Amino acid sequence: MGMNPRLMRPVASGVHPEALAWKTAAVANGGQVSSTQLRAVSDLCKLVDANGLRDRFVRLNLCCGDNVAAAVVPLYRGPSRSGTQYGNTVDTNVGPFADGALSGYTATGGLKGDGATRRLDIGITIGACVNAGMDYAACHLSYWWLSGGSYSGAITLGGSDYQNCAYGAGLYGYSDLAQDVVSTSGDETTGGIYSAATCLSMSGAAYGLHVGTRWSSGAAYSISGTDVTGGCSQDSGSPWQSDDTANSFSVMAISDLWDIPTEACNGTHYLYADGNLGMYSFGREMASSSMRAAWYTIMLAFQQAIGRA
Amino acid sequence: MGWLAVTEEQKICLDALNASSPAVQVNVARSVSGAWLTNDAVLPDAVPSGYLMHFAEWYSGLSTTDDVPAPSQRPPRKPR
Repeated sequence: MGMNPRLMRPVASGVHPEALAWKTAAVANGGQVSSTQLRAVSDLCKLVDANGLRDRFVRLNLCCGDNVAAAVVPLYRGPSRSGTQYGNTVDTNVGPFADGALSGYTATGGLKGDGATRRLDIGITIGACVNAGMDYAACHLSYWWLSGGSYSGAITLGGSDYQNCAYGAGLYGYSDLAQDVVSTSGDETTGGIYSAATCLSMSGAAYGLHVGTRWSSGAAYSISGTDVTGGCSQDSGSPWQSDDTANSFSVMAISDLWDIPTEACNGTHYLYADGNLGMYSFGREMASSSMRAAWYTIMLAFQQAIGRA
Repeated sequence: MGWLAVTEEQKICLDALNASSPAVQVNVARSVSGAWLTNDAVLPDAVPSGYLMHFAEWYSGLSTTDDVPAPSQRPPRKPR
């Protein structure tokens, strides 16, 4: 049974209920959240609702709070708060990220990868994505690249079996959303969408919000609210399978998802990231440019509010 | 930030510790010489009252090394 809609209304303090729930979960995990951070999260929730974006997110983690125990607690775990929730209640902190600029997390620096051991296991599989209404042609991913790292491996996330299915960023050395891999004359081509121009080089101009999305009749990649043109390609794909549940996605690394059809999955991870992450999301498509621009405006305001931009 | 050497025996112990710590897990990487390594930046938290208290005793048995992680590369294509 769904949650009573009245329970979703802002509480007397004016704090959005999903922000309050996030803070409660963060504190229960040993996290610390300042009033400024809570207010920023609450404002973000309100703007997401006001812009009609809430059902676009199957998972959103703002990677914020005063310590890493708060930063590993996702804000959204399903396309609505009252419906089915997906993945781990708290991102499993593998590596781990610990408190401190070199140790892996600061409130303003976000999560810092070490390129070798640190990642988050979010507990969401391709099968879970299908159950949440996503598919290869109905999905988005986004992340906020704060700083640091080599371009191709600064921020990586998602998973791939390197034969039939791939969904993530940084999968092929680009900052991209790539799905489906097909064999062509012994080589590979990436389906889904990607920026052949690697978006913007690693000059630092690519810091900010990255959004890759594909829908039934199109695809787009945007950086900080501007769609990348001239290098963004859309290719064929094949439907995701609801029984593809052998391994879950990672953030700051790529998961090996191989279980197609039911063969062994070794659970390995690769392309560990070495940049600083300020947010990640997985979910349904953001098909309109106005939707992607709105998400950027919301995210920019949030990052500024907590001292990251 | 540096790296700590992890023996095969210590890795077996680590696997057991990780299995009983679902929220926070220590990870190792292969070095350029094929050995196991783990990051030393979290040592201040690997104390009885710290974030990694569960792993404090395990970390105390590790030693520093000049070895570094091998590049993290994409895996080979899978058969279908």
